[in-house]
Amino acid sequence: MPEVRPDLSVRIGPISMKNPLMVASGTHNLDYGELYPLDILGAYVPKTIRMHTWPGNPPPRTAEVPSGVVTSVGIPSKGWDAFVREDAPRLRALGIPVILSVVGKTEDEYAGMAERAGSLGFLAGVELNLSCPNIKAGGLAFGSDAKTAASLMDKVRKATSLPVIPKLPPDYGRVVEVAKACEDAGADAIAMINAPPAMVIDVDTRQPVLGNRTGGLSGPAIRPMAVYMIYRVYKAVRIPIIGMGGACDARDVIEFMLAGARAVALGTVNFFDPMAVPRALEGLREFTTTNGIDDINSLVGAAH
Amino acid sequence: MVEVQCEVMNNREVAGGVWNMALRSPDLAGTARPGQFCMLRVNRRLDPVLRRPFTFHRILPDREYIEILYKVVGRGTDLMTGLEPGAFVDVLGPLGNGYAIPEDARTIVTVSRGIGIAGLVALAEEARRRGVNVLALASFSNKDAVTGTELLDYFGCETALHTDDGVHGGTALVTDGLGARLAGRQVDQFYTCGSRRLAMAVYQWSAGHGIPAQVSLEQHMACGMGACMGCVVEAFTSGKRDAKAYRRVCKEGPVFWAWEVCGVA
Repeated sequence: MPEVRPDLSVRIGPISMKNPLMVASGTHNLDYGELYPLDILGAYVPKTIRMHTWPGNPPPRTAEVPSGVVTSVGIPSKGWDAFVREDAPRLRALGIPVILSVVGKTEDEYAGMAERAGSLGFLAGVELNLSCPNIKAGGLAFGSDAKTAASLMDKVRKATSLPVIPKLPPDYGRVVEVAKACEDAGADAIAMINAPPAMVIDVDTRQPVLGNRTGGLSGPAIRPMAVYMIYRVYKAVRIPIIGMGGACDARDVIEFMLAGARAVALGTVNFFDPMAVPRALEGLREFTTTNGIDDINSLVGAAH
Repeated sequence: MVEVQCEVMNNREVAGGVWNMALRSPDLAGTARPGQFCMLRVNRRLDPVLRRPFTFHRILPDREYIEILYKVVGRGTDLMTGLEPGAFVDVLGPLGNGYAIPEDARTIVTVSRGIGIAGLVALAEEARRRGVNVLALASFSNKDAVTGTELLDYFGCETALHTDDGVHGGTALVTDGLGARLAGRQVDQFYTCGSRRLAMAVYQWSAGHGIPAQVSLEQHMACGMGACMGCVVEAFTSGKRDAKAYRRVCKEGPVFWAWEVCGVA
């Protein structure tokens, strides 16, 4: 019998991907292309950018914990113009959908970058990092309540015709209502979860380890939290979910899909297993073949 | 850069709490340069989850292996001591920028403290292979911590050993008496590794005499590939005081010019 290649292709709104694998912003760079061809990915998400230059947080920026890392990098950025000059041509050359992750301190900054992103002509979508403090709202994250998230989403929606994908903070109490508010305000998909707030204290110095004192926990430690929140949001929205939060291999990717994710980003695993993407892709082919799954979309939400 | 499964050929304690691991890899041995590093995955489990960075202690392309020298400081390095010959470990490398030996160099000076000698041994071996004279100043906390100096002797370096307990007749600071030792000699470049205090001392002396110095920095790293932005240090990017920025030790380093990390030239 000739081997049938299972169909791994998925759609995130209008974005067609040949497989559900992505990378989470800030956990990958184009140097990984020395290890494997980056166009095996379904879509690429470069490190979140800001409109203006920003040095990021003081070191130490990482603290290792069992099965995870607490980081507080602070999204350093060389600013929009340098991004367009230095990174955009290399991202365009990847030949796969590129979703640009942006962060701002005001709604206007987000909207301005979304508008400019559209004018570059090659981007497949814009991801909004909603975990950043909103200066106008006294430093509360843009994604911390439904009204603030919807207001931002609405402003960005009017600024670009590109697909817009808000990336939600992992707030157990509010994640469902924030996701729904984003959907109602025109979001094409939801990305979740961002790293939950966390802290590590050195018992010898009696001080937090990180230069910024607090950070975000990422890595396999947060996977069950991500799966649970995706499971809940899947029941509440009709738009597709891009799942992330500790996924390391093909079985994790499938777990996220069963919970309700249509695409899955590998994040922190790229730090300790730089070949995680090709391994997960091979694993997905194996799993779908072995289990007679013709279309990977049939797994989405199947745990419900 | 490659990710390779390397066979452990040897893994033994060579000084108090300091271990040497030899890893078979034609790829790494054939491409690594002194001052570069590799990221070693201690085991396939998720605790510890991150790889550990190690500079190349010896690079032996003909014999198709590399050596690293590591001090047992935490959980990761403690687990490493349990790796026996015949085991395989996952290694990513070579990474980062190595030391530069000037084309026409005749004499270089290496200054190390403790385990910082690890990468300077690889540099000294390369320099001697090219016929460059090496004066190696090596300082340790006590005589039981001494390691690497017999290799320096073997390569034909002029080695000056200091220990804090004075057993070898040294003084407390390796840089003490640098002036007297170097009087009347033409030195082309200084190299140091590890200790920030040592880097400052070497920088001040070398800058005062108009001699370039390279410093290799150590830092906790998550990825080693420039992606996580976790290993940054504040450094100067040009001769101006306002050109200070966070630079990644893994990518822009680990070898920096001393003025970049210690001051302005």
